[in-house]
Amino acid sequence: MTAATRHRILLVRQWDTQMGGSGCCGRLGGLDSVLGEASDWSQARTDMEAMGHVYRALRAAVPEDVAEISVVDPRNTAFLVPAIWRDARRRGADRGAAFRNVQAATRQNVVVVDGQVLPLGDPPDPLETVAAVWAALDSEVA
Amino acid sequence: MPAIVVALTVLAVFALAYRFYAPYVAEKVYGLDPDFVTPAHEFEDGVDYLPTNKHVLFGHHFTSVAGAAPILGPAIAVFWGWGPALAWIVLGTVFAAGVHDFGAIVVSVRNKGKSIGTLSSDVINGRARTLFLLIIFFLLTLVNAVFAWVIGNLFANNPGAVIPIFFEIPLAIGIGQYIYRTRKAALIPSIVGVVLLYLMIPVGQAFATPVDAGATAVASALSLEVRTLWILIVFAYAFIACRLPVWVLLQPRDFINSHQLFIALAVIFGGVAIGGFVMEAPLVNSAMPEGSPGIFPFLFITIACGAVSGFHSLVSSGTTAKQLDRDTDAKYVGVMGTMGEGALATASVIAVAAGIGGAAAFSERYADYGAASAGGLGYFTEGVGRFASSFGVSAELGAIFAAVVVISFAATTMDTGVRLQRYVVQEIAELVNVKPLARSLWGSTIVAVLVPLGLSLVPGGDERGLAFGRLWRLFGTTNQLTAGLALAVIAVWVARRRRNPTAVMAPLVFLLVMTTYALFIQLGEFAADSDWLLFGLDLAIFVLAVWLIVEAGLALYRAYQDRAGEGVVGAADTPRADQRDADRR
Repeated sequence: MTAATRHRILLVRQWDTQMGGSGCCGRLGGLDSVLGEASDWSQARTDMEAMGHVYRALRAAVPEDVAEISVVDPRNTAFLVPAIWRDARRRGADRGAAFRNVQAATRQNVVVVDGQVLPLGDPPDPLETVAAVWAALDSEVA
Repeated sequence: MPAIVVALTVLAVFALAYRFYAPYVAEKVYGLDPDFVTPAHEFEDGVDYLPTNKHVLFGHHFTSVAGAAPILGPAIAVFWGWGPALAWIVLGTVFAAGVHDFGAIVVSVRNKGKSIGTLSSDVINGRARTLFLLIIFFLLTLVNAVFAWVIGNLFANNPGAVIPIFFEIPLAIGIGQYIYRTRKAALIPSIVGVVLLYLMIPVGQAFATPVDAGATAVASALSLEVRTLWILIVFAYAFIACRLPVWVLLQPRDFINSHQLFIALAVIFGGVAIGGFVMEAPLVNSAMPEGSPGIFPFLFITIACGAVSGFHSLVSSGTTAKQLDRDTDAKYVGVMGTMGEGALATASVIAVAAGIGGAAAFSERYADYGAASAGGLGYFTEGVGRFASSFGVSAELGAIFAAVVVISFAATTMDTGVRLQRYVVQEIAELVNVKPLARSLWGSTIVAVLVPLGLSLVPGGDERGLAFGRLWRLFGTTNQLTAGLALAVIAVWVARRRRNPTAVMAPLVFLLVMTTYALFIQLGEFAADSDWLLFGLDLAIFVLAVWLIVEAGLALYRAYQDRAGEGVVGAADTPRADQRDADRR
C-alpha cells in the first residue's frame, strides 16, 4: 500500500500548551518547557493521558502501512478543517456529511478515520476504539 | 509600485529560499538524516512523544508563533522607508529566522526533545541557564510593558475597539465553559464567537464617542492621561487573567485568535490584490530629521519578530521537537513557520505604505522616530481599513477590525507574559535565595505586574514625552539576544559535529553586533537625557549581551578544540536506528 492510499486516523485532543496569538513573545506550557507549571494544564494533561492509551492501542493494532495515525489539537483548525473535509469527500461523503464530520472533529477526545468521526465515548475506550477503527476501515474496503 | 507586486515578489523570494537555501542548511549544516530515530519514535508514549504528520505540526507551529509583534515592528520601521524594512524582513526571515527556528528544532530533536533553556546549559555550560533566565526576565518585562502601552494607545485612539475587546472576554469564557464543561465540538461555537465579536464592531463604533468621553472624564478625575488610564486597566486585567486556570480564558481565546489570524491575512492580501493599491511611502526615506536613529543598527532591532524572534526557539524546541516524525521534516516545519511570520510582517509594511494618500501623508505620519513608534500601529489599522474597503466594508469599521485583531493578540501575549514572568521571578528568587518571593504566588505576580507597569509609564524620549520608542527598541534588542543565545547553542552543536557553522555564525555575529552597538548608542542617549531608569535597564541588558558573547566565544573555542582531538561527532545525539538496535543487542 502506498502512502497515497494509506488511511488516515486522527486522534483529536488538546495539547498542554498555548496556541494562537502570542508565541512570538511568549510561550506557555509543554513538558520540561523550563517556563511554566504543569498544574496550569492539569485538565489538558488528563485528556492527553487518556488519549495516550488509545494511541498506543491503535499503534499496536493498526500497521503503519495501513494507516497513518496523527494526534491533532482541536485549535489547529488550519490543518483539521481542510484535512477532514478532503478525507470525508474522498470517502464519498456529501457536503453536508463532510461538514458535520468537520464540526464533530473539533470536539475533545475524538477519533476520526478518513474524515469520519467514530461514535465513541469521551475518552474513548482503547479496545472499543481499535474495534471501531477496524470496522470503519473494513467498511471502506467493502 | 503596485503593492501586489511587492507581496508576490516577497512570496517568490521565500519560495526560492525554501527551494535552494533551506536544503543547503538541511544537508550541509545540520546534516539531517532520514533514518535518524527522532524522540517522537524513541520515546513514543502517545502523550508527549508521538510522531506527527508534518502538515499537522506546521499548523501547530505557525499558529503558535504568529502574534502582534511582527505587525508592530515593521509598521514602525517603515520610518526608514519601506525598502529597508522589507529587505530586513526578507533577509532576516531567510538567513536568520529560518536558520534559527529550524536549528532549534534540529538541536532539540538530536537531544531528546529538550527545551532551549535546558540545552543552553547542556551545550554551552551551567552558567548559560542563568543567563537564559535573566534574558527572559528582561524580555518579558519589556514585552509586558510595550504591549500594555500598545493596547492603551490603541484604546485611546480607537475607542470603537473598546466594546468589542471587552465583549471578547466573557465571549471567550463562555466558549470555554461550553467546550470544556459540555465536551462539545468547538468549531461552530468559535466561528459564532468570531462573528459575534465582529458584530460588536459597529456597536463599538456607534458608542465610540461616549466611551471616549467616559474614559476622558475618569482619566481627568484621576489626573491621568487617557492612555495611562487604559494601561492601568490592562495591567489589572493581566493580573486577574494570569491567576485564572488556562482553560477558562487563555485556551478558548486560542480558538478565536487562530480564526482571526487567517481572517486578517486574507483581508490584507485579498484587499491588496483586489484594491490595486500602490506603495506611496518612499522606498528609502531621505527626509529624516537630524538626530534620527540610524538604519544601522536600529532597523535590525526595531523589527525583531517578523525577521527573527528569539522566543521562537522556545516554541521550536520542546513541544515541536517531541512530535517530529522524521528528522528531515524539521526543514518544512521550521522554515515554513518563519516564512508565515515573514508574510505577516510583509502585510504590515504594505498596510502602512500603500494607498496612504501620497508622500506628503507619509512625511506627516513618519515625521520622526517618536511619531513612527507611537503611531505605527495606528497607521497599520488605518491601512487594513483601506484594504477592507476593497470588500465593501467601510474603512472606519475595517480599522476597528484591525485594532480588535491586534489587541486580541497583544492581550493574549500579556496574559502569557505575566504568567511566564511570575515563574521566572520565582525561579530567579530561588537562585538568589529569596525564599519568601520564590514561594509566594501573590508576591511573584505583583512583581511580574508592577515592574513592567512602572516601565510602561516612564516618560521621556520623544518630543511628546513618550518613552515607547525607546522601550520598543530595548524589547527588540532583548528578543534578538534571546535569538543570539539559541543561535550560539546551535552553532556550538554544529561545530562539534565537524560541520561548517557559517550559516549559523553569520546571523549570530550580525545580531550580536547590532544589539551591542544599539545598546551602546542608547547608553549615551539615556545618559545625555539623564534617563537613569532606562540607562540602568540598558546597562543590565548590555552586560547580558557581553556575557553571552563571552560564553558563546568560549563554547565555540572548546568545540573547535574538541574537533582537533577525539571525534565527538553527534556525542550528544540520540542514536540512529542501526546504532540503537546494536546497543540493544
